[in-house]
Amino acid sequence: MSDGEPPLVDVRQVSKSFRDGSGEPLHAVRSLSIQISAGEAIALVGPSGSGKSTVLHLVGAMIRPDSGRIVVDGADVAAMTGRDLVSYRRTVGFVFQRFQLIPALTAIGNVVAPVLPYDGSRAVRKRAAELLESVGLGDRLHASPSRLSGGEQQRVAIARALINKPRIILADEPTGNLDAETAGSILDLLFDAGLVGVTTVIATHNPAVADRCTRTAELRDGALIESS
Amino acid sequence: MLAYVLAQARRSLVRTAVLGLGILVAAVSFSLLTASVRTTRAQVRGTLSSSYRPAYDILVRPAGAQSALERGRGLVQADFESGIYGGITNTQWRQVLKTPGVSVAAPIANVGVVYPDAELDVPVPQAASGPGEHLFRFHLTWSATQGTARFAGEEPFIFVTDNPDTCSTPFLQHADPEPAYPNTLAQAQGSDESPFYCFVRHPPANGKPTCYSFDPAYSDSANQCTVYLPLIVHFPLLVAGIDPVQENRLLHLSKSLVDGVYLGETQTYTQADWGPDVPVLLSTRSYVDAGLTIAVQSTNAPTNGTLSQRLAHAPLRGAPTAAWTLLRGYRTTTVGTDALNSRALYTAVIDGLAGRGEAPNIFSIASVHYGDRAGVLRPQIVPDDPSAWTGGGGNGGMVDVPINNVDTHFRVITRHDPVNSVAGAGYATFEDVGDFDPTKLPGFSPLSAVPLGAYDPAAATGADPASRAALHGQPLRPTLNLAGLLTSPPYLLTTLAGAHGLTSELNFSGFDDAAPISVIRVRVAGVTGPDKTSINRVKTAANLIHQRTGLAVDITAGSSPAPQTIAVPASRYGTPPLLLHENWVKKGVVLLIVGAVDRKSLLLLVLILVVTAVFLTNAGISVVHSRRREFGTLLCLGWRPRSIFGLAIGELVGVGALAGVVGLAVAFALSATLGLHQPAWQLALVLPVSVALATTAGLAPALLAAQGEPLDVMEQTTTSRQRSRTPRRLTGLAWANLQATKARTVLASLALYTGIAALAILAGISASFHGDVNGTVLGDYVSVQVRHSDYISLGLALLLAGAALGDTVVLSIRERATELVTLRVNGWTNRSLAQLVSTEGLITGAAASILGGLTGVTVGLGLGEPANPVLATAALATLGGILVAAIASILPAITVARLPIGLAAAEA
Repeated sequence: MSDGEPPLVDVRQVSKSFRDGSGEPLHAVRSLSIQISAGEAIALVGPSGSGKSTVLHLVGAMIRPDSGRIVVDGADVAAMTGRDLVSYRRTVGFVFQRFQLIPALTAIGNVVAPVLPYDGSRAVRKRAAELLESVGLGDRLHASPSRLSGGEQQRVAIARALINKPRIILADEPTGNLDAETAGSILDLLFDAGLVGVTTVIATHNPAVADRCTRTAELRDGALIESS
Repeated sequence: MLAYVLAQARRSLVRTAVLGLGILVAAVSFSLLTASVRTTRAQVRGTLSSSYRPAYDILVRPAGAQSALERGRGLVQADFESGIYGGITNTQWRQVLKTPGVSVAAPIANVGVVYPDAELDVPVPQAASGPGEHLFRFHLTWSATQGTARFAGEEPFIFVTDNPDTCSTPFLQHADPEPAYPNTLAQAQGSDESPFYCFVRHPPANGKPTCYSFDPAYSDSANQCTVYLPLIVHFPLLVAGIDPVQENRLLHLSKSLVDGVYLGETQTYTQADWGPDVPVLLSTRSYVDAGLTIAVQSTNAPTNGTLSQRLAHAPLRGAPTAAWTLLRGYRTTTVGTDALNSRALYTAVIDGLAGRGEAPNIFSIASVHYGDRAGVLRPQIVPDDPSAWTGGGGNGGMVDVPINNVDTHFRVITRHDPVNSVAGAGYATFEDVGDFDPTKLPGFSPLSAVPLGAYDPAAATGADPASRAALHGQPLRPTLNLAGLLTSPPYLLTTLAGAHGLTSELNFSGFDDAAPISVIRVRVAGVTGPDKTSINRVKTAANLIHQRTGLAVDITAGSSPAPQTIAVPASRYGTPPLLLHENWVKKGVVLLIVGAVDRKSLLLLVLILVVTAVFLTNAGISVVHSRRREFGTLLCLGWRPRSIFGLAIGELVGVGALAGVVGLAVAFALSATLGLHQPAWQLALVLPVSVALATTAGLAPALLAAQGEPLDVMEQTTTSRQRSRTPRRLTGLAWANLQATKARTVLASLALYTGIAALAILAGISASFHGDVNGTVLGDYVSVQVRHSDYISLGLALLLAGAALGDTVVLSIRERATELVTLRVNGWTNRSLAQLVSTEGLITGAAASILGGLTGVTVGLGLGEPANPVLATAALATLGGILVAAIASILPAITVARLPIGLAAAEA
């Protein structure tokens, strides 16, 4: 982390619990603190259930912490509501492990989806096409997700995450459902294709992914063990 | 955004189609049902309006005239006038006439029954025999009640001779051989009178044929050329006084005149030496069931004159005498028969009154008293009282009792004797000033042609096959028995002043001349039908009449004939026991029906709305539920909740609009098929109704979607599953699955529960409605009218409820496709999978149906409906719901077999 500059993402003593089916509390994150600088590519590693995804969800404002603060670019995300929350989410690009493409939309439709309520102009569609081009799917603009391979679907998901020109990319096991070769190409996209200056947080248990990040934070049982 | 909505719809065509079909069914059902209900309601109201007014709106009777039976059953007895002789004063009548709102107050003052002299000459051509003396004997047999009752009448003789002097023999001299009561011949044997008619034969001469004259002592009969039997006809005629002006206003009585002139308003009687001479209108119709058979018998009496010689010395008194023995001893041979019906008998009466009919007595007949056992009325037999006919004061009554009164009596007879005896024996005379035909009186709606018509004949019909057979399929009519079960309407109408001549204590005894009026029939102004204003007008007028006069008041507007079962015992002379239906009058039927129809219509519409809304909401929530992950993704991507809302409701509204377009065609087609005759613009409402239903039903689901959480995207499946135990059997697994998806289970069962509860309530209300209004002619008719829309309503309610459950089963299959396929991969057969899914649906449906049925019972009983129909219909509705659930579950479950096996390896 750079000295002197405040972190872009400052997670302070954040805890989050869920309840399982029988009502017992499941402590996903316990008093976790982590700071992420702007432009950093950090890998959250740890076994399944260590809280990696939960951290992403917290930073992505999908869930609220039970305690602690999450400050992103000076704003307390955990306290956001309404328009502020929506606006914040538009500054974050999320890449899901299972792609979460909308089956009813084509590839370009999925890329445009985040902007659809706000801007349906041709410019947006043009940008979407360019993004798909940049991820190697220039010739599959109108293919439906069911006709795309896993790798292609994830490419679309990445392109979708970039449509709003996000400051932060949150990727939850982006290669978890892909074979090694495909995973590599996805990683190339994430790290090489137009993400300069974009803060990237990747939850992964794939060492290859961690190797390509500037920093690795290891989580175990909801707590930060090591950050390097 | 629109492209997104359309893309989603295209992608989930089946889902969209199911939803659209649901909206279509709901919208079309709603439109057609409201149209059907409106149509039925309008038809019923039309029927009720046209049938609302019987002859009059209010019946006024003397205080206390309503019997306990009438009060208990809310009825007016069929022949309500019979047995009421006076009780209302002229002053009270005028008070009624002046009551605000009253437009007509037509009184009837029953005077009583008279027997004016009437003779019917029955030709006996068989007696036109050759020279010498010939003795003929006649057997008269009276019949009544479709010939079931038969009793012997007179047994007169006709003696034909060539010798005019023979007829002067005291024994053969004619006197009125009227039958004595109860046995003609025996009494006649002991009487001063001879039942002989003597005819002298005049041989042909001067070109004239053989001629027969009846008793040469009466020279005016010398020109008779045929032998005939002079029959004294005792035909009871009810005399009543009316106000000609009011009667005309009420019934246009003057239009029924076929001869003569109408009664004048101030026309009155003339007081003659013998008694009152009363101007009357005579009815040209008689409705009496009576017949007379005359058997003509020749005898082997000697023709050489020896018989007349022997009879010349016969004593006239004492019985039996040798003469009677002699006469009865001759062998007889029937040489002919003649049958006379009541029309012929009545014609004799009319002819007799063409001059001036004389009546020495007036008879009042009381009402029939009924016992009530198990809902069947039983008329009470009244002992015969011969003194009602003969003996006692005054002129001693009738010389001979009318033969037809020998049969069973149900009424008490009271005789009024003449007081005026200037000539030694007073009597009343009737001047026939005009003849009226009751059938020409303006008719009313046959449904409301309640037996309140003063001139309508009483009638009762057989209520069981034996009675109908006994009556030869004909109705029971009044007979000539004055004390019979049924009475005839007035035959003689005079004015109130004319009636006063009969009831005046100066002329006849025993009348309450101060209160001569028996009933008043009232019409209220401004009554148009069963609307509130009209109803209030009638009620107000009725209340005022009662308050001002203290008389008994019955509102007859809105009445309907209500058949009452009457068990009549066997009569004395052959009529078997009869079970009859007689139309009494049930009051307030129209209001009852209106209220019931209105209530039913309102409940129907409300329930349809509820069922429709629940179905659509269920469908909408199912749609949103199935897209939760998608909505979560969009939230993650920065969509605003209101955009999610718009997306969710956009699909529902779009489908609704599409369904509405299709629904238009369906509605028009169904409307024509079902004969609803709705205007096109009303049917076109299916489109906006469809959109409105989809929008309204989609609000909750869309709000639900907008309130989703981004984390929803992380759900591996759309439900959280928690099995708390290991099921051992398929049924147990189905139960566990249902418990794991409680929300959806509840939602699915809610739709069916609402449908079945609605069905049970509807069916209970319908059954109760039919129970309420059945039992009257009007009610029975309306009951048939409303059944049509009832069947439609019930059918569609079931359809919607089943569709909701089926929809949920389909969704369940779709959402659990991977799981189901995985089971198949692990060895389950398609049949087992289908059983699993259908068992889930059946359990849901059965639980919902039972709860729905219980709700139907609770609500039905809470609304005050009778228990039996409510319980029965709730049970049927529950069974129906289970059946529907079975069908709704099984059909989609069959599609499980078509799930692609590759789903097991695919992402959820």
